[in-house]
Amino acid sequence: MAPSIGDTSPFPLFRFIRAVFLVPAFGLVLFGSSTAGPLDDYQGYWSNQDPDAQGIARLYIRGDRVQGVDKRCGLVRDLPEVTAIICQRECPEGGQTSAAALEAVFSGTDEEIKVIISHSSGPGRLKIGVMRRPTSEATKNWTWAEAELVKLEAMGEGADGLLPAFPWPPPKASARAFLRKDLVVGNNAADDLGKAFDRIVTVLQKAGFSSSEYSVYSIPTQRGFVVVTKIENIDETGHFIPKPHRFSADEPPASRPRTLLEYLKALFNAPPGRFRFIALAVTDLVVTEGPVAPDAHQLEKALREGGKFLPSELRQIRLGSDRHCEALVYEFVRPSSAAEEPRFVPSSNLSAEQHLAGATILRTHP
Amino acid sequence: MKRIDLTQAQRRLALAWLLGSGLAFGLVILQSLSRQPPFPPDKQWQWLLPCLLPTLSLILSTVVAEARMVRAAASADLFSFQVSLGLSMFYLALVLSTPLLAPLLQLTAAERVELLTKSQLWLGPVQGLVGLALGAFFVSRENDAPAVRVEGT
Repeated sequence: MAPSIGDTSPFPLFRFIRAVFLVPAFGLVLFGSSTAGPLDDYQGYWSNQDPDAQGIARLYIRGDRVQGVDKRCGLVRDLPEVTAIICQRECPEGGQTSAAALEAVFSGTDEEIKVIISHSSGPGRLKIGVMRRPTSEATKNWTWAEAELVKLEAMGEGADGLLPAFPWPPPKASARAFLRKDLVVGNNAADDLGKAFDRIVTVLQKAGFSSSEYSVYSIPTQRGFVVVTKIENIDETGHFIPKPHRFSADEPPASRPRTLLEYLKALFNAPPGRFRFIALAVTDLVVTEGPVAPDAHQLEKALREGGKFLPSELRQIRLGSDRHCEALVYEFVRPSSAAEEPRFVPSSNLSAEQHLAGATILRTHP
Repeated sequence: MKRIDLTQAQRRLALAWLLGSGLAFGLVILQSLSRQPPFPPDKQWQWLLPCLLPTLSLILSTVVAEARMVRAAASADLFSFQVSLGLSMFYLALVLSTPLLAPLLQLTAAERVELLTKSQLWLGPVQGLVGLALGAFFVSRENDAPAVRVEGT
């Protein structure tokens, strides 16, 4: 349980003392030893690498503007963009502006979240202290938690500062297919990327993918976006294994043998695990495949780094007449057991359409 | 107190252990050679060898050492032998049951690996009891004539 700060005193003086001294005091405890760093070093996408961690999962810092993603009890929500307070700002003449810490306050209807951001010991890492208090309760006690965020590698060259960039050209795929124009990009030339993204989200939601089971990435030079679905457990026909095993990286249990022959077969042969990721690329660029085969862990990690919504700057973009949506299916197989890493299937036995139908993204085989 | 011929008792114990271990080794070898082994072979062997080798080597070395001695009439306590044999058979059945029951438990691949680790919870204590029983059995021996080492063997 997170420690609690504050008091239940009804006296305004005590609350004032707490606000003035106690909250900054915790900031000092956390960041007292850290040194001021250039303001530029705070910029970019930062992610908590622990997938089970609760609290601030991601931060996006641009100048003194901070956006966040908060994860509590399995619910992921976007925190609105706020202007951060720059603590101990130093502006040496001709030098870079440095700051000991940034303080961002997200005031919601139910909760107030104060995030104090400072440089951590290693490069590419940030230390955050997160203070929360409910706005509804009379006590309004602060809770305190700390975490370390890592700068996302995906946010490299080619990214437009709005979303992490999808590797371009995309990694080698097991199967590829065009999606019908009316399904995603629309026949109307006036349709922007926002509409295409909304259609994809609708299709994915109908297919059983909740917001935590897909991520969106940008394509270089703002020529579209890529939505990548979470790892899916599939059978040999491409159909997904029903929940709770659908979005698991561990293959589902084999069915109980009914005859002696089935038992002997199960004793010496474990069914192979089959998994897939689906990337839906909406772009007017020609999609080619890179030479590098993808790695299941890299794709899973990338999924945690992606965004959950398309920023308004990207939503407004209208692509040219070559706009299209292409599905890239990345299939993996684990031939024997949990100790082995899933292997990429360079050429799937199933077509991309069969994969999409198996995921119920396409309702019927075209 | 009832007694049993020591050589006969040791051979029965050795036979039980060789049979049980042989079955376990055979099963694990076949599973390891499978194209889609139900357990990761390295993890399964890391699990099996400490389960069998310490006791098996103790019993075999005792039998071999006894074979090199000429005895008049050595005997051991019958009850100790029966407890040792019973516990040994129970333990070997437990060891074998781990891979044999896995297909019936409807486990995922990760859970099968976890089963190997979990089984140490009950195999470890029983293995300890087998060791104690075997110790009591060997201590209960009585020599009717001094042992003579066979030369040149």
